[in-house]
Amino acid sequence: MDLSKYMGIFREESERNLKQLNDSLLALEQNPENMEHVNIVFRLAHTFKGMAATMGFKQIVELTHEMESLIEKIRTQQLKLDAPLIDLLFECLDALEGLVENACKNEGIKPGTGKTGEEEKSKTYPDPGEVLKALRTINTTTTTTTKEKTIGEQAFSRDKDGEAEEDRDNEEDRDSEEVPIYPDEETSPYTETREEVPETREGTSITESSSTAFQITEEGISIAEIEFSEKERAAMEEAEMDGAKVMVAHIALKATCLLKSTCSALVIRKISESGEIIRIFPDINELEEENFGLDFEVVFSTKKDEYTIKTEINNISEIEDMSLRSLSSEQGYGEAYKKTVHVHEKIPENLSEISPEISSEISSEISPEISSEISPEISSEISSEISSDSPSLEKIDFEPEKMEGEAVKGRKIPFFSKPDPKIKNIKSVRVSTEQLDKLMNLAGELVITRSRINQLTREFKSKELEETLSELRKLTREMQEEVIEARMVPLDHILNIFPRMVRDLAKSENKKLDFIIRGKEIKLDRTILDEIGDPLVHLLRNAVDHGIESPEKRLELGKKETGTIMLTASRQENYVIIKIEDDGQGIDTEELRKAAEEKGIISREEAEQLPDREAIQLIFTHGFSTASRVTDVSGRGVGMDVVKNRIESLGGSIKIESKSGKETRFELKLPLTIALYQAMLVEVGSERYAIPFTNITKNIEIRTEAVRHINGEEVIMENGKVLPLLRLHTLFGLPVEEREKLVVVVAEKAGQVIGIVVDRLLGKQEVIIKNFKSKLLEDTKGLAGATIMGDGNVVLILDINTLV
Amino acid sequence: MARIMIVDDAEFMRMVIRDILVKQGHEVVAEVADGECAIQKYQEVKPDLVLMDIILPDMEGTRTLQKLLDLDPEAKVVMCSSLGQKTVVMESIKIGAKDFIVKPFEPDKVLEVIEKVIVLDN
Repeated sequence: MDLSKYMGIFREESERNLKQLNDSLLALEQNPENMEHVNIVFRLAHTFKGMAATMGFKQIVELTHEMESLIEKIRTQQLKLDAPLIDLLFECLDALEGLVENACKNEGIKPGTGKTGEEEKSKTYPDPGEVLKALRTINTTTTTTTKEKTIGEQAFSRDKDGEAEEDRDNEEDRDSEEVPIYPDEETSPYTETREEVPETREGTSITESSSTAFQITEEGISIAEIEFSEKERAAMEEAEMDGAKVMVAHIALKATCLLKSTCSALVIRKISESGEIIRIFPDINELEEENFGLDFEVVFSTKKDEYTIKTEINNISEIEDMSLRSLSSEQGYGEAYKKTVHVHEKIPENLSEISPEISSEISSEISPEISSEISPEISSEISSEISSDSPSLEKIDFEPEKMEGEAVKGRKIPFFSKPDPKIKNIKSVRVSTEQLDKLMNLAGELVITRSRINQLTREFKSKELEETLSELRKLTREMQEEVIEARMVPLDHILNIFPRMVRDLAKSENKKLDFIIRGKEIKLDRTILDEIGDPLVHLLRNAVDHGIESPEKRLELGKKETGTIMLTASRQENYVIIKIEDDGQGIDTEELRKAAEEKGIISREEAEQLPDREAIQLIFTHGFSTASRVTDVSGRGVGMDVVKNRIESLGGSIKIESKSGKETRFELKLPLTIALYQAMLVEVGSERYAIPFTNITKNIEIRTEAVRHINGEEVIMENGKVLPLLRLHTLFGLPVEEREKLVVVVAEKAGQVIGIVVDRLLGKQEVIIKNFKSKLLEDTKGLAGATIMGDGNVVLILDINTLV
Repeated sequence: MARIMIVDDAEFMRMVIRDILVKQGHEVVAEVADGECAIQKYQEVKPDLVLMDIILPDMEGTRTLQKLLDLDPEAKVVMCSSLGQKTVVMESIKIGAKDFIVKPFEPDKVLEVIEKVIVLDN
């Protein structure tokens, strides 16, 4: 099977599952009793195992298998989910994530999107071997999983590509556990299934076992002597009287059979459909617990003919071989049954590893007349001795008959005719982001072309033309909206790593906090989403590190011991607002002033005059940090100025509010999409420019006489504050017309407010930004790009942040 | 050719199984991710056979199996499981699943089981 084509979906689904796993673990940390989440974790481990097994990722299979076992113990209340266990499960999650990433890398698949670069690049994953060891240590405290590991081993032996080497230690560990011949019944997790044993006849349960001298020797199973109970004998006689035959089916399972117990259950069910089951060797409990090699026998009565029964049983998968023989009352059923069971060639390895102690235990169970002959040394000879030397035993030839069923196994698809290939309806298609960008561009071009046609046809004054155009306008708008929508990704995509991150941070700093996320379904353009991950990480780190106080301090201050950090996203018209609030110590503006002064950012006088509201903006100044101590959490060299610049470069803005001792709140305002700009179109001389709307706080008109000069710079007084002016004419070398009044667009830029002097406001407009692709222009300061207007003219879009 | 419904919460698994089945000429008449949908869809499409994972998001595979059999005692359901879910597989066989397949799926094994289950009941 070519598996490479499933790699993409494997990655996608894995990421989805990892995320879900993360969410559930976080929920469990809050409330370990929540069975719903325990079940989700269980199911996800199971799903992972299935997928990884299919892809042949052995390490993932091993890890998730142990995880599943562990959670099974929690589900069955053998284990209590406590903090260390949750930590271990988080470790599992991380290790799993590492393994998935590795697997993807090896298969040449890029790791998925939606991760904030800063966070993920530095992420180191725990050693899966270590995590596995830890899991196994817990899992082996009871015997639940020992047998299942044996099955696991079988599966791995089928593993074709041998992805990674087995941990030697672990392998040895397991080998030593693997002698589950007669496991302690008390410790068996399957005891509860015993009650569900099917009834053969009224009151005759198959579990009712009489003195079976049933032994497993090096050569396989040998049944030394069988005594049927009274009830069983009666059942057999009755059946014969009724015209039925009593038969013994000998079934040998394939050595590759993964769930022997279940296979045997299938056989037993099939037989019980054809007749009455009288006895099963070994008894049903042993079968269910897989305490048998590959062979078992069923004594039953039936009215069906041998051929039908053989066919039916052979139609069950995983059967290597089966044969039938009759028992009759004339010989006495017990006598007739005495025999040696033919040993299947492939003895599972663990059978040959029976320790002498176990063998001796077995021999003590064997009936007196032959037990004397059995000792550990001669156990290998026992079956042949029983069959040839012991006079009381009848040798029954057990040559398996070649059956029609064999032929069935060999055929591929003999029962179905080839149908016409059906083509499935495709409901979703994966589109590359580049393609989406291109589509967006084309939609933009279409809008522009439409505007041009609009202008060109104005002079025709044709009603039909106008109607068609209005239709075209509607269609292009719709198309544009759809394309924009297609580029939108829910915030959840990047938010999902935050709960875990915040949790880990809080833990490492011994802080107690609740982290609440609201509005993660809000969608944003993926370009913006890609960019805001790091800033959000930074803000959250700050909130944990500098915001929330230690539990002791909080109690001292009369606050709730557990702090709260809340991330709320909401949509406001064409913007998304993301708030990050914490109820920690807030920002001490006095300290800010002092630090700014020490760093020479502002003078003492300035510091003293600065109102609190503005002082707090100091944290956005380049090279400013008040962290009195540098922890590994903060102090990573990324300042708040970087955060602010990043947000503003996206056409967004960031605000901060804080009450010292009480709370801090950051508010990010982000455009929904980066490709569409809300802009104010302005005229300067004969030129038009677009100013991004996010930067604009207001427009004012002032009399020219109001302009003053400070240090040779033009300023005006606005609301009692100095507002520096910037004449676009001067900037772009355009002729200045003397006017009575000046039109000023007040724009905010990195915490600073400037007044941009223009000639005329042309109005608010949606523009499609075209970035400067050429090397020559890409670093142009003051310009974000250009847009094409309906008349075909190119208009430059100002970048307020780099304008001066 | 058989009309088959796949019940598995993992899209990945459904894709793998579907490919195996379609390649051999079977028809995948429905694909669902949980028990509730499985029951609903079963009545709609009446598949010849259901391949169902034993662990599903909304209800256990065994419960879904039971419900399916309550609806249609003739329903042919083959359970899919990973290693280690022995008890549940056993339980589902007792409830009335026709057979089971252990992941990783080997195409031949899957086809053999389907073939046998379909033939067995005809």
